[in-house]
Amino acid sequence: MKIGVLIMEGPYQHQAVDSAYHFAKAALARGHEIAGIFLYTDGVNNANKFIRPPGERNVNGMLDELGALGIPVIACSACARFRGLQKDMVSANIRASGLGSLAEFITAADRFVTFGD
Amino acid sequence: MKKVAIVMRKAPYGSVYSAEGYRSIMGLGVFEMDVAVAFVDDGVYVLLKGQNPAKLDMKPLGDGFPMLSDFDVKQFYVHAESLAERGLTADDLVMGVEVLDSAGISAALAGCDVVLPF
Amino acid sequence: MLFMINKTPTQYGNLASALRIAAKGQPILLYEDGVYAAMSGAQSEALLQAALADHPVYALEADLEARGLTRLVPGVQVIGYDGFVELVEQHNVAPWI
Repeated sequence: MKIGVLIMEGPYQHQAVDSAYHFAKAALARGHEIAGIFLYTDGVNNANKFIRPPGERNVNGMLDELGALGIPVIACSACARFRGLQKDMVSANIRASGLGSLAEFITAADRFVTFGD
Repeated sequence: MKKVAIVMRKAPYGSVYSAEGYRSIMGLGVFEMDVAVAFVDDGVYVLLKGQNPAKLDMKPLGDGFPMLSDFDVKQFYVHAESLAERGLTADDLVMGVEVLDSAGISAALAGCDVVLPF
Repeated sequence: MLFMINKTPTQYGNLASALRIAAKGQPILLYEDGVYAAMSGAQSEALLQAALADHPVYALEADLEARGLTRLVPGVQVIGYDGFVELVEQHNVAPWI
């Protein structure tokens, strides 16, 4: 099955990105394909490669790890502009793109799960 | 074609969600997608007439919804109990909508492949 | 349709709202702060009993454990992320966040 994921909250403020990560890992373990992970509103801040939490899980690293597996992880480009997140701040396996990517994930996915506040 | 329900349950201005919900309706409406919008709980405030956030230097939200039909978004459902609980009727809203009871909203959602919450 | 609840029932209306909309038999997943709704003895227990009368109710184990919740309302089914994915395999999702 193909599953799409949307994340609407940023790093550390809310559990959304953690829940999304653990869900995605479990879905992969059950043999599913993640059609894509779209980072929306404050969710785009999770794409920031300069996130370096002292002694804690790195939520950017977690998403980037999923991206490195070949899962498209896309940060909403308009939301990124609103938040001053520039292209060269985005980690290697995450890209910025428009709502078209969200539409693409929804179209490709058999199921779609949003994590937010 | 995928059927997507945008479910608005949050009030506007205090947080970004309803404005982003609106933007996603426009954004998804231009792609091959059948978009319905449901207003439940505090989401009904999004459609309240007379919004004027000029003093907040924000953009008015409610007035944009009637124009969504230009993007081929034509299914608008409002939860009857949510309206009544807030002392509102369909006349208080910026546009004509289909007012549905809980079972009606439930059925509308059940007919959709994806629910996006705002 | 799987209704996903991530807020406490004592401070937020998400669970009560979902129960109005969810059709009989549609499953409810408690996750993140939503798992507090599974606590027995809380004021919200009546709401959860009402949920259990009409819906299968699941609570995410990692979120229960994180919050130290062990006294659960009988009938709530504790599942891991694996079980969460299984529910998503079976149902479209309504995140009632």
